[in-house]
Amino acid sequence: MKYLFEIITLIAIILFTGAFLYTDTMVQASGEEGWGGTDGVGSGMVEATGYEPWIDNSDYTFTPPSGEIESCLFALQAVFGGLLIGWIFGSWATERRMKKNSI
Amino acid sequence: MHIMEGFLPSPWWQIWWILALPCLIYGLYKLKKIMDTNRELLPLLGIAGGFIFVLSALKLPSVTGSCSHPTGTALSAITFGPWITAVLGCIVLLFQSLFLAHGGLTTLGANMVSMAIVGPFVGYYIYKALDRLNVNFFVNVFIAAFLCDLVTYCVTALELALAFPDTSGGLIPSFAAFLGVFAVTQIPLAIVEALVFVVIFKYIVILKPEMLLKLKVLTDTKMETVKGGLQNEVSV
Repeated sequence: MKYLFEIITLIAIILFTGAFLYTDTMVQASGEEGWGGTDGVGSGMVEATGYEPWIDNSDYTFTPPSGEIESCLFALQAVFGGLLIGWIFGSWATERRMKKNSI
Repeated sequence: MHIMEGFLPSPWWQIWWILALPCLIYGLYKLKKIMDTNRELLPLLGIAGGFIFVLSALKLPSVTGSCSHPTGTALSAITFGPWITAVLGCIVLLFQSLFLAHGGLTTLGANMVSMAIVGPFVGYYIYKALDRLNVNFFVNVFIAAFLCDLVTYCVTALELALAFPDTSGGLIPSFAAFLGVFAVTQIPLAIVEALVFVVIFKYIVILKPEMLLKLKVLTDTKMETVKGGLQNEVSV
């Protein structure tokens, strides 16, 4: 089958999304706050031991002033990476097509 | 998998930095060698770095009720090896710690060891081992990419457990607790990430097989077998 890998990946993403929606319903029903990052959960576990971080990013560098700006910067990071990948794959595909046409 | 700034006490953050630095320096040496001698591989290097940038920026909800992100290191690990991946991973982690307050400069060594060094090392050697055993190329890529991602989170759990052992039970219960947070959330994401890399490798085989040959990811005969399996796509 021509697009076997793509189909398998798509099915996995659909199953994964379905499982997420199911879990989300359970989280909402339980009234608990869900969908925090594991980084935050891990940090919370460390703080629960009584440990206090001895240095913070804001002590020496830029810290996003709000969650929205942080999300924007993350999105920009993904956009730059995505553009680079798309550009290179696109040029490879064009190169291959041109080679084929010239034969 | 980021360990946030200030969340590792002395001497742990220094220990991880000491372990990470030689890998980074050797990676820079290997990178310079590629830039001097094999400049035609640079687009693939760009793609490999781009994937680490893109995937590690995606905070995705997992089925466990919390979010995590893929690592994106498998492409670089399988093609360029773990040393160069250490450099690419370091660039991304440095960017995230300086501009996004994710991770930090003191914990950069620990974050590099997990995401940019040990994870890629495991992915690379699993790929090489399964390649010797003549496992199907795409199955091999899937397993290597899956472990590359998952091991990253296991190492993060270990790093935190070493710094914060359980007061009564010691290292093991603490490791199990951190593993429960990091690794369990990561399993579904690692599966999807590994599948995405299988698709990416398929397109590299179709579009630029010579790069995989040059990097010794596949031998000539194995490339013929892989291409044979993709006959429909290759001929289009």
